[in-house]
Amino acid sequence: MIWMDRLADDSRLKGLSPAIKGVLSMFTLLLCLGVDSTPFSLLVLLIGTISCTAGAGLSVKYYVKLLCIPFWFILIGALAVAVNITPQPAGFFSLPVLGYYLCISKAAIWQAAGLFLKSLACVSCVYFFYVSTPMPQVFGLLQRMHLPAILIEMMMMIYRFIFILLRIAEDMSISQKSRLGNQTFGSSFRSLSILASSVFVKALQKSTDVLNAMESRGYDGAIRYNTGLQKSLPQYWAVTAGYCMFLVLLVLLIKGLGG
Amino acid sequence: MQPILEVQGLNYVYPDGTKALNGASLKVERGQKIAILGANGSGKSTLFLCINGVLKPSGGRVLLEGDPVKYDKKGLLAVRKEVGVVFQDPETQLFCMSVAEEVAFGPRNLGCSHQETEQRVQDSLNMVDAQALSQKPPHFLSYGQKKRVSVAAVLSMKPQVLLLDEPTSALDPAHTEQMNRLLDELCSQGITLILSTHDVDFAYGWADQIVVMKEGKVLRQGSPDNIFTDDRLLLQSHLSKPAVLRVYQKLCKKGILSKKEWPHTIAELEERLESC
Repeated sequence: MIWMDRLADDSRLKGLSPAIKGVLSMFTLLLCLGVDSTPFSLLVLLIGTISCTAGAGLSVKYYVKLLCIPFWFILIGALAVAVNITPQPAGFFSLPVLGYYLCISKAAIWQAAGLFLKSLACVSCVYFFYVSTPMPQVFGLLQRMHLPAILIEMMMMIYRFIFILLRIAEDMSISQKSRLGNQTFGSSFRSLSILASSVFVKALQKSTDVLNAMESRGYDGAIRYNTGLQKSLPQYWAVTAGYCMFLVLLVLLIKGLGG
Repeated sequence: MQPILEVQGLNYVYPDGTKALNGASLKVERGQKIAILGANGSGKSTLFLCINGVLKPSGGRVLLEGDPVKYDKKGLLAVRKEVGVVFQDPETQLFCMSVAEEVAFGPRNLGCSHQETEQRVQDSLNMVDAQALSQKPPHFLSYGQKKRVSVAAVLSMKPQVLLLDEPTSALDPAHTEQMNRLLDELCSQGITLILSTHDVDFAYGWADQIVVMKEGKVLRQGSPDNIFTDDRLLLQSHLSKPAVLRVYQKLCKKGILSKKEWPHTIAELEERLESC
């Protein structure tokens, strides 16, 4: 899982202001959701893919790997839309089940395909932000958006702990495997339950240790941090605004053609 | 001279009833190098946390430059400004988003200005040779790097007394050497160093004073020569004799070397052998 966190740190667009990256990604995402047009979704997916790979410098292999994470989830969701349950047969395919029919109609398939594309396009928008913005910048952005400090601090701690606990869980799992902890179906379940409970106990211990270490450096209930965000150049903002306007125009054009 | 740190009859009982400290006492002069030796569970880490005021002792007291430590907000801030702790596991110490933020955490808590903080971060990272890491998140670092950053994170608070809990455990020889050089440099700056270790050879060669702990008590505090020539004490505290000392004593017994000053390192012993 750590490889995912490294992507943003190795990104070509790391130096770009997170506010710009956030606006680019969120604007495209919201527009894609709002417009709800399949050609536009396709376009957004294309833009997302290009900006992740050619823009942020992510290798195609990793980009596909990332897209695969929600792929099956989206596919199953789309399938559920494509298939209708009706009392009478309908559409071009009907399968009788317990007195009802599972029907697939042409319209439903188009709807499912549109939904599938739209979801994938939105995911690619989010990925653009994700693979180009290291976490410290994200927290900096949230801070600038005046999110309550307590929330940001909790997010920071959770983010850090994910990696500590992940390491512990990995090490434990290796040590279980090396002692044949998952030879049989039963033993691997037992191993997993031991792993889960001991990671929980370790998390408690670690949190006490971390608090001790923080107190020894004068922690008094507030983390004072500096996100070190630089103001971005006006040119960049101009380009961002231009891109947004271009998208809006495109949407109007598509809507005009469609309606 | 007024000792910079004095611990008098310190007791600490953990909530589960474990008596981690049971009347521990020691005295540290300014600028000294102290090595604390003792088996696992002899109370070294708890002693460090108590000296730093993270744990409030249930009995006894800690004196900093003659003044007893107060456990109110102001008192604790004063202690933490004066005394820094480098924890054994750097993982527990590093929690910030980036190395630079991590090192800035302490100075900001002390109320340093933005510029002052920046300067301290620069200086501390330079000192541990980790400038290049400053924008990296802690989980991207190797163990040795984490260890160095965890030292820098404490140095940035400019402590007078630095407590290090087994600073070289789990480090490879090259990193150990680097850590030892860093310790020498800190010492030359006049920082009082107290470290816990299991490495008797290192302690014998490095420390001005050795503190031997067992079951929450300080068995003895004294010069390395005093401690390591007391065979009964070593037996009682399960400590082994430093290799240099063993060989030297054998050489003296065989009449090859004459008993003069004790050699504390291999190099010193070699020198003595050369000149005889």
